Amino acid sequence: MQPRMNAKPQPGSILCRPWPTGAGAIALVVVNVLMFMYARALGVFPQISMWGASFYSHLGLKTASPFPPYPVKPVLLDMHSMIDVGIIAGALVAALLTAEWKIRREDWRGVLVGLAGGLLMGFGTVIMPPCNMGGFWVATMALSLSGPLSALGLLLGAYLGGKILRYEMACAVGPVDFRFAERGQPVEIRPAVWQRWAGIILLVGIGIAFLLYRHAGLDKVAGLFLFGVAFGVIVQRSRFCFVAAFRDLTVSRDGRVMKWTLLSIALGVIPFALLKAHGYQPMHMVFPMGWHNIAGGLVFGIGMTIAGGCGMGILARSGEGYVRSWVAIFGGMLSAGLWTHIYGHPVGEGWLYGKPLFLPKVLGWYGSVGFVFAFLLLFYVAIRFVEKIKDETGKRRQDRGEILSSRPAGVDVPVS
Amino acid sequence: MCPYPKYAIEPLLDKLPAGSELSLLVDCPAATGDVPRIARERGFAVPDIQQVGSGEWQIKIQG
Repeated sequence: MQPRMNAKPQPGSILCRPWPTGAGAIALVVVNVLMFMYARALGVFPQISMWGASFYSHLGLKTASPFPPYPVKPVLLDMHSMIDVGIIAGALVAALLTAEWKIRREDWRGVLVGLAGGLLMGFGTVIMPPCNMGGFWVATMALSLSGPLSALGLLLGAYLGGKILRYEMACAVGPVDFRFAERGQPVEIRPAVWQRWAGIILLVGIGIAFLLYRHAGLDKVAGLFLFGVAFGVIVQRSRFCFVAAFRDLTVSRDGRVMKWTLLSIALGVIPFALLKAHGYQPMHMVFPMGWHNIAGGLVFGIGMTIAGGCGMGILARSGEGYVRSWVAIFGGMLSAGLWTHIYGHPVGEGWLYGKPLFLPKVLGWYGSVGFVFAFLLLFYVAIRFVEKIKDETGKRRQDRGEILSSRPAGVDVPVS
Repeated sequence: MCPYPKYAIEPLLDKLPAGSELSLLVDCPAATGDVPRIARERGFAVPDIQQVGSGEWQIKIQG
């Protein structure tokens, strides 16, 4: 039986229905805090950068991993990399269990856009650093001043990237004229029962991999792999997208996803502050602060928007079968993996980077939490302002009757 | 592919003749939330969203 999503929710289909956006945001921050308590908080692109350095080393170009805490290691033995592998596996298993998995092919143009997006994300992550998950979302709740600064660059980058997407779309749908459209054929419903079985088998495989790691004494690798799986499942089921948060706000003046993002940061900042104030990894996810946060955010923002996902997004979507995400991951590996070779220093060293600024050292614990909440409140007020402009513009258009009267009247062209 | 359906639907709705029905086939999971929301905001009815295959959905929009 096929899942069906009518306007009214149907009881009994909860497992197959998408999760609400807010549930996704809250689940993400809960898992992130738990993972921080277990070992570390979420960050995905330094690992992809390490994979890139490893790729070049295999080609004979010896280059160090750009992020010093992530030295080149075999992926399956590296606990950080296993978060990323877990995200791919989690999204894949969730997509299979709900029969939503599909190879989403791309033409040559889509492949090139994905590669360009990945290359920009790779450069953005080493300049910012790191990606928008670690560099904005986690860094802000971890009381690093680099987090709010990165948001400025990401917003600008998402605006520019979104303009490119809109232009592409305008060119694609411009020639469509429904007045000459023929009646469409009824769509055949094709059951995909095999996907559910494949999902169950993969779920068992994930459990076996966890037990094998435990048996080998690699507890942290096993644990972080499972946390990664949880992130992948949440992103796939809730369709929560950090790119959409930035892109929708700047391009469509729609702040719905960004408001959930801000709420998730607000929920995360107090547990992070409490843990850090008690001496638990106080400098964890505190990054160099300076103009490079904005510049790197800008580059990363353009890249993630045209690639169709942030670091975690392209990992999850690669599990869902998006060819563009596979290419984007490879592009990110190619550019970020070469950074030490190009720049001559690892990330955080040399002329480019400022010093890490941990807010409690300047403002104290209460002052830093207050600062982050003030930042979130200011951001929220700015979103409401942007939405208000959109509402007023829409109302003016409706008053003038632009929306409905501009449509051709009296032509009945059912498409199916 | 995400997020193209979201950006495609606005110009398509502007062109949709009044009184007709548009069946949109998408393979982007997020579009099953975004596209109906945008259509409803612009005064269109969305009577049905149905999964028609693995990773594919049909969204019916009535003008």
